[in-house]
Amino acid sequence: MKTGSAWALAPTLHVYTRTIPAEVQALQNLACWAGRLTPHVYMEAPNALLLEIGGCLRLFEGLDRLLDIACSESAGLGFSPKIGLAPTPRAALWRARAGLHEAWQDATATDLFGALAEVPVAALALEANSLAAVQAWGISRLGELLSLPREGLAARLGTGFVLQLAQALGELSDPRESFIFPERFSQRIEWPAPVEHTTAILFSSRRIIAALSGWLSRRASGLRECVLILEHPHQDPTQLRLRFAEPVYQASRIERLLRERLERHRLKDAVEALRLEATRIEPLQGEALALFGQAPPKNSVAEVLDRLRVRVGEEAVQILGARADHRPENAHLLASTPHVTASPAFPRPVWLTPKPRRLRERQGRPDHGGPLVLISGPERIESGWWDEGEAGATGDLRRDYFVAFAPNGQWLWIYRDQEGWWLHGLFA
Amino acid sequence: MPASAEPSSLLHRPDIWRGDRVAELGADCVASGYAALDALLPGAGWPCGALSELLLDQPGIGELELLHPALARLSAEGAWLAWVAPALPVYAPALLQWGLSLERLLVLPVKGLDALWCVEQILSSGAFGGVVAWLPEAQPPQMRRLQVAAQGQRPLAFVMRPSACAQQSSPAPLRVALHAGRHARAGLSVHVFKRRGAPVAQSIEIDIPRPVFRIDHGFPALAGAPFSASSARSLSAV
Repeated sequence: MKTGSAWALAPTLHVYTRTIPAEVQALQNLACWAGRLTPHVYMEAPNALLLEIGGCLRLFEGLDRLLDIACSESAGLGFSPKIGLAPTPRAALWRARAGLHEAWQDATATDLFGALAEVPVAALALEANSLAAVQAWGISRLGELLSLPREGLAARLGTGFVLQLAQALGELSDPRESFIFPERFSQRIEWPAPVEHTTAILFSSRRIIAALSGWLSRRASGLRECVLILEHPHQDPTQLRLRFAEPVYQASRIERLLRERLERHRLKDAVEALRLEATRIEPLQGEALALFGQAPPKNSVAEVLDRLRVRVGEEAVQILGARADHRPENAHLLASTPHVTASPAFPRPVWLTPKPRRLRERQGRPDHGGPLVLISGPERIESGWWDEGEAGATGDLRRDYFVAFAPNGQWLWIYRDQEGWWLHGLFA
Repeated sequence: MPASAEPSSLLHRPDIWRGDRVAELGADCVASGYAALDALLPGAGWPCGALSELLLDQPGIGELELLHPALARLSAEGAWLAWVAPALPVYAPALLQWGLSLERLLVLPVKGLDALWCVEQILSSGAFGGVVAWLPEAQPPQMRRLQVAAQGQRPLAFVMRPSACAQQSSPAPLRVALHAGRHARAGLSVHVFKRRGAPVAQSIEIDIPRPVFRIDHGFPALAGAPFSASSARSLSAV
C-alpha cells in the first residue's frame, strides 16, 4: 500500500521512515539489557533475541518470576515483546513469532512435537513461493507439516527447511554466535526533534541505563562513575558527571541519581542527542543472598551519600578528620583520610569559629555581653614557626586558652595573646 | 467474648496511655544518659523514629552535651550519624574527645530548603542511626513532613530550633526547652513541655559535664605581666 492510500484510509496516521541502523542499535541495547537475565544472549536479526535461561531459573526463584521481570522491564523500556519458550532456540523463536506466548508449561515439557504443532506455517521463515506451496497443499499448522515424510519435504521445500525442522525438534544441534557484550559502554540516543525538557531526557535515558545495568551484570562489575553527554544543536555538548560512593549495578539507583542530577540542571539549549558513557567500573564483591528471607537494609548509607552529593554539592557533604597538631586550626580537617584517634588532653569546643573574634576588655577582664568568668585555664599553645608565611597556614602563634562562662549562659573558648582577648569557639 | 476483657488489661496496651502517666514505648528508645531526664521521657530515653525538638536561644549552653551520651553510644555501636546545617562550623577534635567516630559522622553545612531535604532523605533512608539538625526556619508543615519521614525508621532525630518556636504547634512528639544556667555552677535547665503523656509542669536542672580542667600551679608561670595578673585574679574569683 502506498502512503497516499494509507492516509486516505486513516488521515491521522503517523508515518515514520524506517532506519535499519537504529533498529540494530535498539536490538543491541536490548541484548545488553538482557545480560541482566542471563549471560547467554543471541541476536536473531532483525527483531528477535534468544536468551538461554535454563541455568538462571534458580537465581530468579523460578520461571514465572523471570518472565515477569523480562516482560515488565522490557515494557518499561518501551518495547512490547512477544515471548516464546521452548527447549530449543528455534522452537522458541517460532513460538514467539507465532504469538504463542501463553501456556509456558506446555512448552517446557519434553513434548516438543506438541509445542510446535500449533505454530502456523505463516510464522516460519519460509520463502514466499515455498509458503504459497505449503498453503496450496491445504496445510496451515506446523503439526500437519511435521506429519509428512521428511524426504518429500526436502525435495519440495529444500534441505535448508528440513534442517531447521530438525534443529527445532532438537534432533540436530543449533550452533549460534553469541552476542558479544561491548568492552566499553558508550551508547547514544538521538531524538527526531530536539527536546527541551529534562523529563524527556530522563525518559529516554532509562533505556540506556537498563542496557548499562545488564552490561554491568554481565561483567559482574559495578559503576563508580559515568558521564552523560547532552548534545546541543548550536552549542558545545554539556557533560554531566555522576559519581557513586560504592559500585552500583542496579538500574534504579543509577536512574534515581541521574534524575536528581537532571532536576537540578538547567539546560542551556535544546538537546538533540544524548550519550551515556561508563567511565569507571569496578569489579563487584560477591553478595550473599538472604537466608530465610531476611530483608537486607532498605537503603545503604552510600546510596544516601550519593543523593546528597548530587543535590547539595560535593563540598557540602563532609566527613571530618583530625590531625595531630597542637594548633587548634590545624587539628581539624575535612577529608577523612589522614586521621588520628588520639584526642587533645584539654577540652576542645564543638564549635570553632574559622576566624577568632576580638573581645573587648573591661577592667582587665574580657567582655562578651558582660564580663566573662574564667572557669579554667590557661592552656598554653604556642609555636608553629615551620609554616610561618606560607599561604593559608596558621603559622607561629602564642596563645593562652581559657574556658569562660558568659553572662548569657554560653560556654566559650577564648584566648589571650599579645594583642588582647579573642573568642575562638563555643562549647555545646 | 475475648474483646470485653478486663478494662485494666486494656490499659496495658502500648498505644493507649492514661492522662496521668507517661506512655510506655518499649524498646525503641535510647537512654539519654541522664537519669533525671530519663525519668521524664516516655520509654526512659530519646525516642527512635520520631522527632525530638530542642528549643534554645543561643548555641553553646550545653545543648549537645545533653545529647552526647546517646550519640556516643550509637556511634560506638557502629551507627552513622549526621549533623545537618550546624549553627557554627563543627570542630573535629572535640568530636573525637566525645568518642564519636569521625568516619561515620556526616556533616552537612547546607542552608534553607536543602537542609530540610537532606534531613528528610537521611531520615527516610533508614540507614542512619542519628540525626541532629539545626532548622531555625522550619515551618510546621515542613516539620510534619520530617516527622512522617522519621516514623517507622530507627534514627534518633533531634531538631534544634529557637525558643520562640515553643508557641508554634509542632508534630514532634517530644519537645524540650533548654535554658542556660544563671551561673557557671548551675546545670542546664531542661523543660519537657510536650511528651507522650502529661506535660511536665516544672523544668529540671541537669548537671551536665562542663569543660572544666584544672592546672596545678606547678605549671610554669605565664610569660609577661598582662597574662598572669588578670588570669590569676579571675580564677580566684570562681
